[in-house]
Amino acid sequence: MTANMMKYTRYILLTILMSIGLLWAQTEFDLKAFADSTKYGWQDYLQRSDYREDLLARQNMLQLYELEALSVKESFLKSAVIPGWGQFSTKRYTRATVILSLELVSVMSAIYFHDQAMTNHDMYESATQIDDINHYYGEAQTPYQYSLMALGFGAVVWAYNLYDVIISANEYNEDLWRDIVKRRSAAPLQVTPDGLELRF
Amino acid sequence: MRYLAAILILFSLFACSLKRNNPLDPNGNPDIIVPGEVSGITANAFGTGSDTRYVRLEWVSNNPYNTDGYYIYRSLGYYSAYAVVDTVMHAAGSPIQSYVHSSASDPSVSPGDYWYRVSAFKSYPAGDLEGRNSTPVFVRISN
Repeated sequence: MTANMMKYTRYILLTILMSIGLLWAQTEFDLKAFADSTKYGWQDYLQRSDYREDLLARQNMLQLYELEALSVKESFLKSAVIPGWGQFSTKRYTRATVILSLELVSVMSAIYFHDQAMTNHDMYESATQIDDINHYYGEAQTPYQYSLMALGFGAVVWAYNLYDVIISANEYNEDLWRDIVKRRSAAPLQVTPDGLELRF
Repeated sequence: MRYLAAILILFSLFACSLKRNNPLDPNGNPDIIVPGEVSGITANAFGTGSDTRYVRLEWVSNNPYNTDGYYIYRSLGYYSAYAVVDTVMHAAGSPIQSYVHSSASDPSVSPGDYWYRVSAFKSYPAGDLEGRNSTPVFVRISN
């Protein structure tokens, strides 16, 4: 058998198979079932319309949520730059104030003690008398350790702030969703899957 | 809270120390020898009634291994500020060192009450390292 004959035979077989498949598919397609509007539980056109309204309302809620929800990543980055900033965005003002204050106090203490340590260390470096050398070194070492402790405390607060902002952002988003649902349910005119509902 | 305290304590325990980078600090430089404290100081005033008054100080010689010279300080009170009035080099081979503070060379040697103290120093390329100050001694220069 030549190569050309092999090629033609393959095409013919493929065409036959496709034709059979189409015919079979045609017989399986149930147009009536496809067009049946009651298959989703709708009994008539009005019910279908109500469902559509309900669906649109839910979509609106979701859009509202997406607009107002906070990005956890963004809040995290904010708090990484300025501790407490992310918490302010999530409207956790007390937490944010406490974190920011603690961070400021620890950083400022670290700077203050470091400055004090460096002043005494400069005097130690220029001292030529043995008592002065020992005295100024001791005077420099104590505030230096305080500055490291303050810096360490600042680092702990900063790390906690990053952990806290993730929780705060998630809590904020959960509260937001609950609020949107509550707002919707508080509206006097409701579109429900069972029809329109008017509350007084 | 317990964890926070533990972290803080660990941090302070492992906190780095400041550098002992003073070239005269014996703790950072094992080659540095600290001069010994000067002892046995006596101070006597002379020249009462004459134009030239002077105070003669004497003290026990330090070991030349740790001493190249001495700073002489004077003050108007025991706890007041002391000022260096002179520097004297260590006289080798003598058990007693001495210094004369005379009005001939320093007009401030005038009648009054004074406190003198002495400290030893040792010279290094980075400068002179001064040892501990001696106990001050009192001297009165009369008219």
